[in-house]
Amino acid sequence: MSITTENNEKMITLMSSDGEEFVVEEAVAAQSQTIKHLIEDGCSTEGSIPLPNVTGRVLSEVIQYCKKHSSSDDKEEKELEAWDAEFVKAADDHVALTDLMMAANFLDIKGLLDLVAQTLANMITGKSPEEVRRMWNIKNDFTPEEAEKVRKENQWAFE
Amino acid sequence: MAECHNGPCNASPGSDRFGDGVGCQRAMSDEGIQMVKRDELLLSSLNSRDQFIHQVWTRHGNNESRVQDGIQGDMVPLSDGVKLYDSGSGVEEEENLSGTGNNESSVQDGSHGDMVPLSGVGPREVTLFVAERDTALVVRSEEKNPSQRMEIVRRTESMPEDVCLDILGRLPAKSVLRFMFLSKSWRSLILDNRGRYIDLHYSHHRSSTPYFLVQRELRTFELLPWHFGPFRRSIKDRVEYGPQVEYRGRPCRRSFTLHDGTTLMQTGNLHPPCVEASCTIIGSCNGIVLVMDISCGLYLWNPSIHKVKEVPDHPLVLCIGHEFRYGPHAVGVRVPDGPQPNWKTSIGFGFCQTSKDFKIVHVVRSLIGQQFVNVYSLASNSWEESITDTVIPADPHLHPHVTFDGNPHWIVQQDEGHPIFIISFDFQSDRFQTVSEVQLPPCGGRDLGVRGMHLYTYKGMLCILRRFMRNRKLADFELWALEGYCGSNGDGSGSLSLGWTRVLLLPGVHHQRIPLTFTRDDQLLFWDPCNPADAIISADLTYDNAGRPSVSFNRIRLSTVVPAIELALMGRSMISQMKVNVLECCDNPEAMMNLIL
Repeated sequence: MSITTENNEKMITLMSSDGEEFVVEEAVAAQSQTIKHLIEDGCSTEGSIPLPNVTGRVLSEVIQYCKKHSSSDDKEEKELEAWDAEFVKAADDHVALTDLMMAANFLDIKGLLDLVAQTLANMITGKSPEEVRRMWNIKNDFTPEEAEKVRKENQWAFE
Repeated sequence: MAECHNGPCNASPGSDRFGDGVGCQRAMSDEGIQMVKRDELLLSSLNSRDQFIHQVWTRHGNNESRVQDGIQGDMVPLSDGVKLYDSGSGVEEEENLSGTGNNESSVQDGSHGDMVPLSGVGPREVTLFVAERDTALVVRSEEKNPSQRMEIVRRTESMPEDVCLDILGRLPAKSVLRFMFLSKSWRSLILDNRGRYIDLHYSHHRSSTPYFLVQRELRTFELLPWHFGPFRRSIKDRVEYGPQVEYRGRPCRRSFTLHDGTTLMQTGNLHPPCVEASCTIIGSCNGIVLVMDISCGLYLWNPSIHKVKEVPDHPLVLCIGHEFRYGPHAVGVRVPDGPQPNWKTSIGFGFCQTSKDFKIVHVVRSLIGQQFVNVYSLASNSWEESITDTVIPADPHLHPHVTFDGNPHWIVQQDEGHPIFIISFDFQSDRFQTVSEVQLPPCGGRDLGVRGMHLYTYKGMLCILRRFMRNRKLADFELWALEGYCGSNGDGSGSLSLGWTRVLLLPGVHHQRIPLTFTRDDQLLFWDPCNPADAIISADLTYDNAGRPSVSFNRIRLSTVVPAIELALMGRSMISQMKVNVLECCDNPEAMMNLIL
């Protein structure tokens, strides 16, 4: 469904996996390469663009990011950096960040992907394997013998 | 199947990973709640009194509605194939669960016995484990109104490989080595995608603080960050003595660890590959250092992950026999009973972008021009002979190679009076190429010719640093850049038209000071043999009002890095021998997680 506003900004509607609809300017949505391609393929003319991999909560965050980054071309880079820092801080935990990262990956928004991936990387850099397993529900499937061997190979990395 | 639950899933977003025709898109959409059969979804959460609440939800039209509540201890009958999965628990419970998850019969009967009590889960988050669908979900409720809004969040179990690799690529080498221990699938994710992983890692870390490697003595290497200012300040209180370490069965000198809070560089204690004997750095590329020991054995060393690989013996070495192995660089080695009394060796090290392979070129040349060129490839771990007839550098001591764009480059001159060339060995075609003839305008002092010229890289350009004597005590340095050259330029034709431009002038440097390398801040570092205790000097260039350059020198006190006790133990004689053998720019070893396993 294409709507045109007074400023002749083309609006498009995005629908999240849980059925929430978001009406955004095309320029904002097109920061996502995935959506951009969908628009180019004419998907936006027939109602809303379904985004089956993104929930409404995550999508609203993503749109928030895209709006900021599409409107601030001429703004100072520093201000944008500060905004980005606040943005990931607001996401508050690794689950929310992981959701955001998955969405950024699916929607193919490079800036957001970089931002969130770096935040997650910083988060786990100094963590022990046990802590990371707990964070992401990773099961340690090494046998004790294997674990011992792997650990020995790179003992210094655990010190 | 169990492995998929716990590791990164191979599927890309939107693909069908449920194996039953219900693609991810469908599963994660509105109908996603129907993933649990009979249109039911079980949610469990802790309430404020730490009681478990199990709720079964079903769908009517567009609205979710709760159909059944359960309070702690009440087991609500599970829909088929639903298992609770404790996101906060340790290994044991996970083991239990994955066992049931793998077991077809227990999945089907859905009895109470299959449920595992949740523990240690935050009030906002529990995980549902849907065994038969090969995925796990986190159900989050919002604190304000938990009964109104529930969300299904995909967990990292199904994080696409790309996403996992992207995160891993940003981590320091040390963290990644630790996380290879997370699970088998993470380990194979890193190992199977080694090439891509290295590229990612390299691109993410390229611009971060680089380090350089100092070989101060025969056996000690140190990795120092470029930023001397903060480094010097912070190092003072942060040097700790390490324990007595053992390397290849021998106890090593006491080592120390640098605690640099800003990075993970806690590796002042680097194990050089051949700690028993003297070794020399031949070259470095993409963080891998090529080292030669006293018997000419070559080693590839990755300081950032503490790995060393011995390069198999060169075929020529094997055919001439062990006698060939004399002295570092094997220059002018006498070959017993050989046809030629004198042989000269040159070794170049680099990286072939096309095949993503580290390579070594080894040239042996006799005085009458017999020449043997062999190329080692790390991927095949073998030497192969290459046929080429370009003149190789006459004196590798004076003119070690510089790796630029992955290929080694040398300055060569056949004989005094002959033209001077820059040549490179192209690791793609395994052939020598002429890059450019060196034609520089006359200098304003006593010209030392090719002996006064050394190759450097400066601001991404291949440069010649020309040294000439102004008088008996002072030398001037000029830096000439080969403009327009950005690496292997195909067949080499037309490359002779590249132009030389002077980019830097350093006047009035004490004649004994030896230029070492450029820092990232474009300072030239010098080695001062007269004052070994603080031997490294940085030259800062300033310009006066008339635009005339002058140099101010700042000593970089190595003694602040070396624990005082070690200096005392070494005694005077050791100190005078202490030398910066090679000061090698290792672009940023943290960045080069080149796994040589």
